[in-house]
Amino acid sequence: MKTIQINTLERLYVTIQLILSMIIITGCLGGCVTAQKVDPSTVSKYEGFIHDGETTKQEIQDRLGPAQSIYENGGILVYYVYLQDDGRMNLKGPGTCHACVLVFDKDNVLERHSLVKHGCR
Amino acid sequence: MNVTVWSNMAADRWLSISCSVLIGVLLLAGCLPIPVVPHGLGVVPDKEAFESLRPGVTTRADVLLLLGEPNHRFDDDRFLMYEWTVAYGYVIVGGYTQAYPIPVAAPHYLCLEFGLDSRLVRNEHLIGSLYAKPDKAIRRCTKQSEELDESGEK
Repeated sequence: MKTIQINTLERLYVTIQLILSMIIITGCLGGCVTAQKVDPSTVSKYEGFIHDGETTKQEIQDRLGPAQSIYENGGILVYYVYLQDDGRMNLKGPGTCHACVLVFDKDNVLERHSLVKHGCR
Repeated sequence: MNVTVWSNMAADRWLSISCSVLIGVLLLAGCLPIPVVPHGLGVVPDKEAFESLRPGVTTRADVLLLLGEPNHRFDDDRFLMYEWTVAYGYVIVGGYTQAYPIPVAAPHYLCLEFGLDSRLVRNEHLIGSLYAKPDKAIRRCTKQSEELDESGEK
C-alpha cells in the first residue's frame, strides 16, 4: 500500500487556501449591492399616477409631499422610496431605500423619471 | 553520513514548522492581512452606468437618473461626488470563541463637475489610501477644471 505523507507546511497551505476561498466567496456573495437604474415603467407600475409628459410637479408634491432632495431649482426632485412585498411603493421603511428621480421640463411637467435601486445615500 | 542527512532533514523540517507556526500566529493575531479579490462593500454605483458618462453630452439629470443620489454636493451642485468602499483584504481578529474578519479597505470616489449648461465637464475616478477620510478627495474634486489645467494635474 502506497502512503502519501503530507507535511506540516503543505497542511498549512491547504488551510490558508481554504480560509482564502471562504473569504473570497463571502466577499463575492455578500459584500455589496449595486446602485442600479431599473426600467422606468417600474415606477409607473407601482405608482400609477406617474407618467412622463403628463404628470405635473404639483400633482407629485400633493401626493408624495416634499422631496428629500431638490436639484436645479426644483427641476429635479428625488424621493426616497421603499418597495413593499405587495409591490407598492412607500415613503417610509422598513426595507431597502431606493431613489425615485423625477426630472421636470420648464412647464413643470414630468419629462423623465427613474427608480435607482439602492440609490439613496 | 546518515547522521548528516538526518540532521539536514531535521533542520529543514524545523524551519518549515517554525515558518508555518509564525505565519499561522501572525494570521490569527490579525497582524497579516489576507488578500482577496478587490470587491465593493456597501452600496457601489453601477460600473456600466458610470462608464457611460460622456463629458459635453451627459447632463446632471442623466447622472441622477442613472446613479441616484450622490454622497456629496458642492458649490451649488457644480460638483457631485459618489463614494463607495473597496476591500482588498481581511484581517482576522478575535479570541478563542469568536473571530471577525475586518476589511482592509480604501474609499473610492466618482467626482463629477458640471458646466453652467448642466452638462458634464469632468468625470474622475479617485482612489483614496487605506482607511482615508474623504477630505483630500473632496479638495481634489472641487478644484475646477481650469485650475487643474493650469496646475497640470489634469
